Amino acid sequence: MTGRTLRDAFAATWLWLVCLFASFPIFYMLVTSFKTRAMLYEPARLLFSPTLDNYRVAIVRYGLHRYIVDSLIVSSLNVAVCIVLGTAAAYGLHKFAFAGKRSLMFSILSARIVPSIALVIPFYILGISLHLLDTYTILVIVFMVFNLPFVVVMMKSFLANLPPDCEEAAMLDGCSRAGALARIVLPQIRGGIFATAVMTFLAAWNEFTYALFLTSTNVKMISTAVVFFKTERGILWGEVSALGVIAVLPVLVLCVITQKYFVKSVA
Amino acid sequence: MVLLTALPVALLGYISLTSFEMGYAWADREFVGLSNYARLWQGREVEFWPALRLSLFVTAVSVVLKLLLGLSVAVLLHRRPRFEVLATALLIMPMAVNPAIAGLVWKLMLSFDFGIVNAMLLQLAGVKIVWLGKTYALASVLIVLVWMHFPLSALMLAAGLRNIEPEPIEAARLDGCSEWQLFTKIVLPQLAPVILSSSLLQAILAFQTFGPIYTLTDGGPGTATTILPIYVYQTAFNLGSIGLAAAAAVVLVAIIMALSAGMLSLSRKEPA
Repeated sequence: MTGRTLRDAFAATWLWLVCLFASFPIFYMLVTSFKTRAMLYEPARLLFSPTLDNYRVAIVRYGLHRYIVDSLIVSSLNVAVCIVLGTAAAYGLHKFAFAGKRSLMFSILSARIVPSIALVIPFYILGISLHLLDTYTILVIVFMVFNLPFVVVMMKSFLANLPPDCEEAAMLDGCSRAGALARIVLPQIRGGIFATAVMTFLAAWNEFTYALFLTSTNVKMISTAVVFFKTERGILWGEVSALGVIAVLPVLVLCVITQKYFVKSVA
Repeated sequence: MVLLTALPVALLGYISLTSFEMGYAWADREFVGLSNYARLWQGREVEFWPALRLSLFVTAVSVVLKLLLGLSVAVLLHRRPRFEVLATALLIMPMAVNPAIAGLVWKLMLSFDFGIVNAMLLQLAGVKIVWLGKTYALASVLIVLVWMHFPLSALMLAAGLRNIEPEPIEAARLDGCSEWQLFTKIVLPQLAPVILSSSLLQAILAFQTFGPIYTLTDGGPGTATTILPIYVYQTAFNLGSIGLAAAAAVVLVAIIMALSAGMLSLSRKEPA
């Protein structure tokens, strides 16, 4: 049986090596964010007295809190709009049969994979013409391009798993369709709506391309903030790492909370 | 909702037929027909064909690497290792990182003077590599792409493995099949649809990658890592030739659409 144990040991080693590969950059960013500038030249040093200077500089000198607030505003507004419109659309697709339903589903799905670097060109020109460049409005609308289809697809799958009986019973008892939707259907998929909202929020929070080209000084998204930490003296690695940690932490926390749904959504 | 994508795509198509340049009024544009496409096609924009070829190369290589790495991890996760939850949590961490930061943190780790990768190489092998120089920049880009997206493949393939019936495998095992035979003759064929759809999804993701490369190499040094999305951005926002960039962007969209059409026809064949 030694061949077997040897193979198992090899398998376990490989698995944990890959896990290390996946997680190491994030831990390394965390460690770097507590280093002084002088210590950057000792990359492998893990034991040192940590400093919070990078966080202080990132907030005081570079106004990092502005980025966080703006990201929160844009992402939350986008989630609210997408959840309301997306749930309504999914309910419509789920309940009513109509011509072209299939091609509608196709266009919804394809919207999610259109490259943002291509669509940013027309959105940039629309932004100029409508005087919407560098506003919350343009990001909230543009982020719908990838988030709304996602909400529709998720909601549709949650609705499909519901038994139709309760809703019909409520409507027989004199409930309107809207009333049945609000009182019977939606409460049953509360967990699903929450998980979808979280994932929609994360996609908006992490979006980079649109935010980079459509906003600059008025609206500052945390996903693009790293770009502004390039100075003539090079990249401020300590500050960038601090920023990275602040940008990634909420995402990691939310991912862990919704891990169950997260894993299900890709499967 | 259809308008939300159809309208910008239509507008993109229209822009690609004009001579619109950054800094001019939208009203000053001229309709130039297909001449932007002709310029790209004839190679008068010398960077276009190399960028397209490089994009295809990066996509193909990264998809294979993501698939192999993802599959190996999925198989191991499927055997219910100790601390499975911890392993999964560590594995999906790259999915939480925004693309610009992913590029930057790797730029830090791959830095020649103070990068941890070179520090470890120096200890282990006594060499240092100019990771972001001409020779290795492309390899660095591939490492970052694989790092960002392989967890998605791993999760999809692990889910695919869970859906395979265990009975035929047990039966074959009793008949004296080796583990390797079991894997190649029974598991892999059943996993094929998932492998195909996850590869296509990865190809779609890889072909339009912009953020990490923008922060890691910005297409350089020279044009060593200028893939099509970087070419589109440089033409539009650095050179200001928005009409021309739009034509290149239409090519990008067309290729992505072809890939996704393939994916959709696959998912229809599967009993969902």
